[in-house]
Amino acid sequence: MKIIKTALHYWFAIVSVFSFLAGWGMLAHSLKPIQPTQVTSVNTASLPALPPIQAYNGGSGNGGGLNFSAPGNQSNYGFPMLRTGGS
Amino acid sequence: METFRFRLMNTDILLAAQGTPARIAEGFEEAQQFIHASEGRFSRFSGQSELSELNRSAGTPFQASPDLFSVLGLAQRFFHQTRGLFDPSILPDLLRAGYDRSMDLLRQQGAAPLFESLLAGEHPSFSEMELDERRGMILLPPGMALDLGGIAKGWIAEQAALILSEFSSACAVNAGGDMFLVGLPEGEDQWPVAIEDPLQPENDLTTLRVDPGAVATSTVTKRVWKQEEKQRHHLIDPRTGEPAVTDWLSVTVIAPHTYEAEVFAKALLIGGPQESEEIARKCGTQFSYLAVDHDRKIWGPQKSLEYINVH
Repeated sequence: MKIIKTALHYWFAIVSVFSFLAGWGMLAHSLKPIQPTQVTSVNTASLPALPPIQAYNGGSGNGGGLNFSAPGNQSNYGFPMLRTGGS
Repeated sequence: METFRFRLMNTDILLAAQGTPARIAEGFEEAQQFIHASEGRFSRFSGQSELSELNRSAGTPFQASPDLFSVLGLAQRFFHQTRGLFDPSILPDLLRAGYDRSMDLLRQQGAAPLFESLLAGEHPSFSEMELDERRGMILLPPGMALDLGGIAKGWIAEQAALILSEFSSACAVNAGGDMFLVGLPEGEDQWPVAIEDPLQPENDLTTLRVDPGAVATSTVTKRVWKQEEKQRHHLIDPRTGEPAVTDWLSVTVIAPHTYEAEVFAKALLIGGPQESEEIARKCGTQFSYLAVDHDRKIWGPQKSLEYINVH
Protein backbone atom coordinates (compact mmCIF):
# COMPACT_ATOMS: atom_id res chain seq x y z
CA MET A 1 0.00 0.00 0.00
CA LYS A 2 2.81 2.35 0.96
CA ILE A 3 4.63 1.59 -2.29
CA ILE A 4 1.54 2.46 -4.34
CA LYS A 5 1.10 5.71 -2.41
CA THR A 6 4.73 6.72 -2.96
CA ALA A 7 4.53 5.78 -6.64
CA LEU A 8 1.41 7.94 -7.02
CA HIS A 9 3.21 10.88 -5.39
CA TYR A 10 6.08 10.55 -7.83
CA TRP A 11 3.68 10.08 -10.74
CA PHE A 12 1.76 13.30 -9.93
CA ALA A 13 4.99 15.24 -9.40
CA ILE A 14 6.43 14.14 -12.77
CA VAL A 15 3.17 14.75 -14.70
CA SER A 16 2.86 18.22 -13.14
CA VAL A 17 6.39 19.21 -14.16
CA PHE A 18 5.93 17.94 -17.74
CA SER A 19 2.51 19.63 -18.11
CA PHE A 20 3.99 22.91 -16.94
CA LEU A 21 6.88 22.65 -19.39
CA ALA A 22 4.57 21.67 -22.25
CA GLY A 23 2.26 24.66 -21.55
CA TRP A 24 5.25 27.01 -21.40
CA GLY A 25 6.49 25.70 -24.73
CA MET A 26 3.10 26.15 -26.40
CA LEU A 27 2.69 29.72 -25.19
CA ALA A 28 6.25 30.63 -26.17
CA HIS A 29 5.59 29.52 -29.75
CA SER A 30 2.06 30.92 -30.15
CA LEU A 31 1.29 33.95 -32.39
CA LYS A 32 2.00 37.34 -30.82
CA PRO A 33 -0.57 40.20 -30.95
CA ILE A 34 0.26 42.95 -33.42
CA GLN A 35 1.57 46.04 -31.67
CA PRO A 36 -0.16 49.34 -32.59
CA THR A 37 3.16 50.99 -33.33
CA GLN A 38 4.03 48.26 -35.80
CA VAL A 39 0.71 48.59 -37.56
CA THR A 40 0.99 52.34 -37.90
CA SER A 41 4.56 52.41 -39.02
CA VAL A 42 4.42 49.49 -41.41
CA ASN A 43 1.07 49.75 -43.10
CA THR A 44 -0.23 53.29 -42.83
CA ALA A 45 1.28 56.48 -44.01
CA SER A 46 0.86 59.85 -42.38
CA LEU A 47 -0.48 62.18 -45.00
CA PRO A 48 0.64 65.79 -45.03
CA ALA A 49 -1.15 68.00 -42.49
CA LEU A 50 -3.20 70.51 -44.39
CA PRO A 51 -4.02 73.98 -43.17
CA PRO A 52 -7.73 74.68 -42.61
CA ILE A 53 -9.24 76.98 -45.20
CA GLN A 54 -12.14 79.40 -44.97
CA ALA A 55 -13.81 78.30 -48.16
CA TYR A 56 -17.30 77.68 -46.87
CA ASN A 57 -19.75 80.10 -45.34
CA GLY A 58 -22.89 78.02 -45.51
CA GLY A 59 -23.52 75.08 -43.22
CA SER A 60 -26.59 74.03 -41.37
CA GLY A 61 -25.51 75.50 -38.06
CA ASN A 62 -27.14 72.61 -36.25
CA GLY A 63 -24.46 70.01 -36.36
CA GLY A 64 -25.67 68.41 -39.57
CA GLY A 65 -22.66 67.59 -41.67
CA LEU A 66 -24.05 67.28 -45.09
CA ASN A 67 -23.68 70.35 -47.01
CA PHE A 68 -23.36 71.60 -50.47
CA SER A 69 -22.47 75.24 -50.40
CA ALA A 70 -25.38 77.61 -50.14
CA PRO A 71 -26.80 79.26 -53.27
CA GLY A 72 -24.50 82.06 -54.32
CA ASN A 73 -21.67 80.21 -52.65
CA GLN A 74 -20.81 77.99 -55.54
CA SER A 75 -17.42 76.34 -55.78
CA ASN A 76 -14.89 77.08 -58.47
CA TYR A 77 -16.11 74.01 -60.32
CA GLY A 78 -19.37 75.58 -61.47
CA PHE A 79 -21.49 73.19 -59.46
CA PRO A 80 -22.17 72.82 -55.73
CA MET A 81 -19.26 71.79 -53.56
CA LEU A 82 -20.01 68.59 -51.69
CA ARG A 83 -18.89 68.39 -48.09
CA THR A 84 -18.68 65.42 -45.79
CA GLY A 85 -18.10 65.48 -42.05
CA GLY A 86 -20.55 63.07 -40.50
CA SER A 87 -23.74 64.03 -38.75
CA MET B 1 -26.55 72.12 -61.78
CA GLU B 2 -29.81 72.53 -59.83
CA THR B 3 -29.94 71.95 -56.09
CA PHE B 4 -32.72 71.23 -53.62
CA ARG B 5 -32.26 71.09 -49.87
CA PHE B 6 -34.54 69.98 -47.07
CA ARG B 7 -34.38 68.31 -43.69
CA LEU B 8 -35.48 64.71 -43.09
CA MET B 9 -34.08 61.81 -41.04
CA ASN B 10 -32.92 64.45 -38.52
CA THR B 11 -30.31 65.62 -40.95
CA ASP B 12 -29.81 68.11 -43.76
CA ILE B 13 -30.29 66.63 -47.19
CA LEU B 14 -29.21 68.09 -50.45
CA LEU B 15 -30.01 66.87 -53.90
CA ALA B 16 -28.07 68.15 -56.92
CA ALA B 17 -28.77 67.27 -60.52
CA GLN B 18 -27.80 68.26 -64.03
CA GLY B 19 -30.30 68.31 -66.90
CA THR B 20 -33.46 70.06 -67.98
CA PRO B 21 -35.12 72.03 -65.14
CA ALA B 22 -38.58 70.49 -65.58
CA ARG B 23 -37.26 66.92 -65.48
CA ILE B 24 -34.99 67.70 -62.55
CA ALA B 25 -37.87 69.21 -60.55
CA GLU B 26 -39.78 65.98 -61.12
CA GLY B 27 -36.75 63.95 -60.02
CA PHE B 28 -36.30 66.05 -56.87
CA GLU B 29 -39.91 65.43 -55.93
CA GLU B 30 -39.70 61.67 -56.43
CA ALA B 31 -36.41 61.41 -54.55
CA GLN B 32 -37.77 63.47 -51.66
CA GLN B 33 -40.91 61.34 -51.46
CA PHE B 34 -38.78 58.21 -51.39
CA ILE B 35 -36.64 59.57 -48.55
CA HIS B 36 -39.72 60.59 -46.59
CA ALA B 37 -41.33 57.16 -47.00
CA SER B 38 -38.09 55.39 -46.11
CA GLU B 39 -37.67 57.44 -42.96
CA GLY B 40 -41.13 56.24 -41.94
CA ARG B 41 -39.94 52.68 -42.44
CA PHE B 42 -36.49 52.75 -40.81
CA SER B 43 -36.78 55.30 -37.99
CA ARG B 44 -36.52 53.96 -34.46
CA PHE B 45 -38.00 57.24 -33.18
CA SER B 46 -41.44 56.54 -34.63
CA GLY B 47 -43.49 53.89 -32.88
CA GLN B 48 -45.33 53.23 -36.16
CA SER B 49 -42.22 52.52 -38.25
CA GLU B 50 -41.59 49.05 -39.57
CA LEU B 51 -38.34 48.92 -37.61
CA SER B 52 -40.19 49.66 -34.35
CA GLU B 53 -42.70 46.91 -35.19
CA LEU B 54 -39.80 44.53 -35.81
CA ASN B 55 -38.22 45.45 -32.47
CA ARG B 56 -41.53 44.81 -30.69
CA SER B 57 -41.78 41.42 -32.39
CA ALA B 58 -38.56 40.07 -30.83
CA GLY B 59 -39.08 36.41 -30.05
CA THR B 60 -41.57 35.79 -32.87
CA PRO B 61 -41.06 35.67 -36.67
CA PHE B 62 -41.74 38.98 -38.45
CA GLN B 63 -42.88 39.39 -42.05
CA ALA B 64 -40.63 42.16 -43.39
CA SER B 65 -40.90 44.42 -46.43
CA PRO B 66 -38.30 43.74 -49.15
CA ASP B 67 -36.50 47.00 -48.25
CA LEU B 68 -36.13 46.18 -44.55
CA PHE B 69 -35.15 42.61 -45.33
CA SER B 70 -32.55 43.82 -47.80
CA VAL B 71 -30.99 46.29 -45.32
CA LEU B 72 -30.87 43.65 -42.59
CA GLY B 73 -29.19 41.22 -44.98
CA LEU B 74 -26.51 43.84 -45.61
CA ALA B 75 -26.23 44.53 -41.87
CA GLN B 76 -25.64 40.86 -41.16
CA ARG B 77 -22.89 40.72 -43.78
CA PHE B 78 -21.14 43.84 -42.47
CA PHE B 79 -21.40 42.64 -38.87
CA HIS B 80 -19.13 39.75 -39.84
CA GLN B 81 -16.86 41.75 -42.15
CA THR B 82 -16.17 44.36 -39.45
CA ARG B 83 -15.55 41.71 -36.79
CA GLY B 84 -18.62 42.90 -34.90
CA LEU B 85 -17.59 46.58 -34.73
CA PHE B 86 -20.64 47.43 -36.81
CA ASP B 87 -23.49 46.10 -34.70
CA PRO B 88 -27.08 47.36 -35.04
CA SER B 89 -28.10 45.48 -31.88
CA ILE B 90 -26.46 48.04 -29.56
CA LEU B 91 -29.77 49.93 -29.29
CA PRO B 92 -30.21 49.09 -25.57
CA ASP B 93 -26.77 50.61 -24.90
CA LEU B 94 -27.62 53.68 -26.94
CA LEU B 95 -30.80 54.15 -24.91
CA ARG B 96 -28.88 53.64 -21.69
CA ALA B 97 -26.47 56.39 -22.78
CA GLY B 98 -29.46 58.73 -23.12
CA TYR B 99 -30.03 58.67 -26.90
CA ASP B 100 -33.70 57.74 -26.53
CA ARG B 101 -35.22 60.37 -28.81
CA SER B 102 -34.20 62.16 -32.00
CA MET B 103 -31.04 64.26 -31.81
CA ASP B 104 -33.07 67.40 -32.46
CA LEU B 105 -35.21 66.66 -29.37
CA LEU B 106 -32.26 65.48 -27.30
CA ARG B 107 -30.52 68.78 -27.89
CA GLN B 108 -33.65 70.70 -26.88
CA GLN B 109 -34.63 68.64 -23.84
CA GLY B 110 -31.38 67.12 -22.51
CA ALA B 111 -30.70 63.44 -21.84
CA ALA B 112 -32.39 61.14 -19.35
CA PRO B 113 -30.22 60.13 -16.38
CA LEU B 114 -28.06 57.00 -16.58
CA PHE B 115 -29.84 53.84 -15.50
CA GLU B 116 -27.12 52.00 -13.64
CA SER B 117 -29.42 48.99 -13.23
CA LEU B 118 -29.01 48.29 -16.95
CA LEU B 119 -25.67 46.71 -17.69
CA ALA B 120 -23.75 47.79 -20.75
CA GLY B 121 -23.63 45.15 -23.49
CA GLU B 122 -26.34 43.02 -21.84
CA HIS B 123 -28.28 41.91 -24.91
CA PRO B 124 -28.24 39.01 -27.36
CA SER B 125 -25.57 39.02 -30.05
CA PHE B 126 -26.58 40.30 -33.48
CA SER B 127 -25.35 37.01 -34.91
CA GLU B 128 -28.41 35.37 -33.32
CA MET B 129 -30.78 37.20 -35.69
CA GLU B 130 -32.29 34.80 -38.24
CA LEU B 131 -33.27 35.74 -41.79
CA ASP B 132 -35.53 33.46 -43.79
CA GLU B 133 -34.76 34.55 -47.34
CA ARG B 134 -37.39 32.37 -48.97
CA ARG B 135 -40.30 33.77 -46.96
CA GLY B 136 -38.87 37.22 -46.18
CA MET B 137 -39.20 36.58 -42.44
CA ILE B 138 -36.95 37.97 -39.71
CA LEU B 139 -36.58 36.47 -36.25
CA LEU B 140 -34.99 38.58 -33.54
CA PRO B 141 -34.18 36.69 -30.36
CA PRO B 142 -36.02 37.91 -27.23
CA GLY B 143 -34.35 41.03 -25.83
CA MET B 144 -32.86 42.18 -29.14
CA ALA B 145 -33.68 45.65 -30.49
CA LEU B 146 -32.06 47.22 -33.55
CA ASP B 147 -30.97 50.69 -34.56
CA LEU B 148 -30.38 50.93 -38.31
CA GLY B 149 -29.52 54.65 -38.24
CA GLY B 150 -26.33 54.87 -40.30
CA ILE B 151 -26.69 51.93 -42.66
CA ALA B 152 -30.30 52.87 -43.43
CA LYS B 153 -29.32 56.49 -44.08
CA GLY B 154 -26.62 55.35 -46.50
CA TRP B 155 -28.95 52.93 -48.23
CA ILE B 156 -31.68 55.59 -48.56
CA ALA B 157 -29.23 58.18 -49.95
CA GLU B 158 -28.04 55.73 -52.61
CA GLN B 159 -31.54 54.64 -53.62
CA ALA B 160 -32.66 58.28 -53.81
CA ALA B 161 -29.69 59.09 -56.05
CA LEU B 162 -30.59 56.22 -58.35
CA ILE B 163 -34.15 57.54 -58.57
CA LEU B 164 -32.86 61.03 -59.31
CA SER B 165 -30.49 59.70 -61.95
CA GLU B 166 -33.48 58.66 -64.06
CA PHE B 167 -34.27 62.36 -64.48
CA SER B 168 -30.76 63.75 -64.94
CA SER B 169 -27.44 63.14 -66.67
CA ALA B 170 -25.44 63.52 -63.44
CA CYS B 171 -26.58 63.87 -59.84
CA ALA B 172 -25.64 63.63 -56.20
CA VAL B 173 -27.54 62.97 -53.00
CA ASN B 174 -25.85 63.94 -49.76
CA ALA B 175 -27.55 62.99 -46.50
CA GLY B 176 -25.68 64.10 -43.42
CA GLY B 177 -22.33 63.56 -45.09
CA ASP B 178 -23.30 60.20 -46.63
CA MET B 179 -23.37 60.73 -50.36
CA PHE B 180 -23.89 58.87 -53.60
CA LEU B 181 -22.68 60.34 -56.87
CA VAL B 182 -24.01 59.29 -60.28
CA GLY B 183 -22.35 60.32 -63.54
CA LEU B 184 -20.05 63.34 -63.75
CA PRO B 185 -20.72 67.07 -63.87
CA GLU B 186 -20.27 68.56 -67.31
CA GLY B 187 -16.60 69.13 -68.16
CA GLU B 188 -15.34 67.26 -65.07
CA ASP B 189 -13.57 63.94 -64.80
CA GLN B 190 -14.19 63.57 -61.04
CA TRP B 191 -16.32 64.97 -58.20
CA PRO B 192 -14.65 67.24 -55.64
CA VAL B 193 -15.69 66.40 -52.07
CA ALA B 194 -14.41 68.47 -49.14
CA ILE B 195 -13.70 66.83 -45.79
CA GLU B 196 -14.78 68.98 -42.88
CA ASP B 197 -12.46 69.74 -39.99
CA PRO B 198 -14.10 67.71 -37.18
CA LEU B 199 -13.13 70.36 -34.63
CA GLN B 200 -14.25 73.33 -36.74
CA PRO B 201 -16.88 72.01 -39.16
CA GLU B 202 -17.20 75.38 -40.87
CA ASN B 203 -13.68 74.79 -42.24
CA ASP B 204 -12.42 72.13 -44.63
CA LEU B 205 -9.30 70.06 -44.04
CA THR B 206 -8.83 68.93 -47.61
CA THR B 207 -10.69 68.18 -50.81
CA LEU B 208 -10.91 64.74 -52.33
CA ARG B 209 -11.44 64.02 -55.98
CA VAL B 210 -13.55 60.93 -56.40
CA ASP B 211 -15.17 58.91 -59.14
CA PRO B 212 -18.91 58.29 -59.22
CA GLY B 213 -19.80 56.14 -56.21
CA ALA B 214 -20.05 56.77 -52.51
CA VAL B 215 -18.40 58.78 -49.76
CA ALA B 216 -19.39 58.78 -46.08
CA THR B 217 -17.93 60.11 -42.85
CA SER B 218 -18.42 59.14 -39.24
CA THR B 219 -17.38 61.42 -36.43
CA VAL B 220 -17.51 61.53 -32.65
CA THR B 221 -17.71 65.32 -32.57
CA LYS B 222 -21.24 65.99 -33.80
CA ARG B 223 -23.97 63.86 -32.24
CA VAL B 224 -22.83 64.67 -28.71
CA TRP B 225 -24.71 65.38 -25.50
CA LYS B 226 -24.25 65.38 -21.76
CA GLN B 227 -25.79 62.74 -19.52
CA GLU B 228 -25.52 64.05 -16.00
CA GLU B 229 -21.82 64.99 -15.97
CA LYS B 230 -20.74 62.50 -18.62
CA GLN B 231 -19.92 63.57 -22.17
CA ARG B 232 -21.69 61.18 -24.57
CA HIS B 233 -21.69 60.56 -28.32
CA HIS B 234 -23.68 58.25 -30.57
CA LEU B 235 -21.02 55.73 -31.62
CA ILE B 236 -21.32 52.82 -29.23
CA ASP B 237 -18.39 50.44 -29.03
CA PRO B 238 -20.05 46.99 -29.09
CA ARG B 239 -17.10 45.58 -27.12
CA THR B 240 -17.87 47.78 -24.10
CA GLY B 241 -21.47 48.90 -24.61
CA GLU B 242 -20.31 52.48 -24.00
CA PRO B 243 -19.66 55.44 -26.35
CA ALA B 244 -16.39 54.59 -28.08
CA VAL B 245 -13.09 56.00 -26.88
CA THR B 246 -11.22 56.54 -30.12
CA ASP B 247 -7.82 57.58 -31.43
CA TRP B 248 -9.49 59.37 -34.32
CA LEU B 249 -12.09 62.14 -34.50
CA SER B 250 -13.51 61.23 -37.87
CA VAL B 251 -13.13 58.67 -40.61
CA THR B 252 -14.12 59.21 -44.25
CA VAL B 253 -14.58 56.19 -46.50
CA ILE B 254 -14.74 56.09 -50.30
CA ALA B 255 -16.55 52.97 -51.57
CA PRO B 256 -18.82 51.78 -54.37
CA HIS B 257 -21.94 51.93 -52.15
CA THR B 258 -23.04 54.50 -49.59
CA TYR B 259 -24.22 51.94 -47.05
CA GLU B 260 -20.85 50.22 -47.02
CA ALA B 261 -18.96 53.54 -46.85
CA GLU B 262 -21.11 54.48 -43.85
CA VAL B 263 -20.65 51.11 -42.13
CA PHE B 264 -16.88 50.96 -42.63
CA ALA B 265 -16.43 54.60 -41.55
CA LYS B 266 -18.19 53.79 -38.29
CA ALA B 267 -16.32 50.52 -37.73
CA LEU B 268 -12.89 52.03 -38.44
CA LEU B 269 -13.60 55.01 -36.20
CA ILE B 270 -14.61 52.73 -33.32
CA GLY B 271 -11.80 50.26 -33.95
CA GLY B 272 -8.97 52.76 -34.41
CA PRO B 273 -5.68 52.11 -36.23
CA GLN B 274 -5.13 48.52 -35.16
CA GLU B 275 -8.59 47.18 -36.03
CA SER B 276 -8.65 49.29 -39.19
CA GLU B 277 -5.58 47.52 -40.48
CA GLU B 278 -7.21 44.19 -39.83
CA ILE B 279 -10.51 45.15 -41.48
CA ALA B 280 -8.77 46.84 -44.41
CA ARG B 281 -6.68 43.73 -44.93
CA LYS B 282 -9.82 41.61 -45.00
CA CYS B 283 -12.04 43.93 -47.07
CA GLY B 284 -9.42 46.32 -48.46
CA THR B 285 -10.53 46.06 -52.06
CA GLN B 286 -13.96 47.35 -51.10
CA PHE B 287 -12.95 50.81 -49.86
CA SER B 288 -10.33 53.45 -49.09
CA TYR B 289 -10.29 55.57 -45.96
CA LEU B 290 -8.89 58.74 -44.48
CA ALA B 291 -8.89 59.29 -40.72
CA VAL B 292 -8.44 62.57 -38.87
CA ASP B 293 -6.78 62.39 -35.46
CA HIS B 294 -7.00 64.73 -32.47
CA ASP B 295 -4.20 66.92 -33.91
CA ARG B 296 -6.07 67.18 -37.23
CA LYS B 297 -3.48 64.98 -38.91
CA ILE B 298 -4.88 62.86 -41.72
CA TRP B 299 -4.05 59.15 -41.75
CA GLY B 300 -4.76 56.45 -44.22
CA PRO B 301 -3.37 53.66 -46.34
CA GLN B 302 -1.09 54.59 -49.20
CA LYS B 303 -3.80 54.16 -51.85
CA SER B 304 -5.90 56.89 -50.20
CA LEU B 305 -3.31 59.48 -51.24
CA GLU B 306 -4.62 59.39 -54.78
CA TYR B 307 -7.91 60.93 -53.65
CA ILE B 308 -6.34 63.95 -52.01
CA ASN B 309 -6.25 67.20 -53.86
CA VAL B 310 -3.99 69.48 -51.82
CA HIS B 311 -5.05 73.13 -51.71
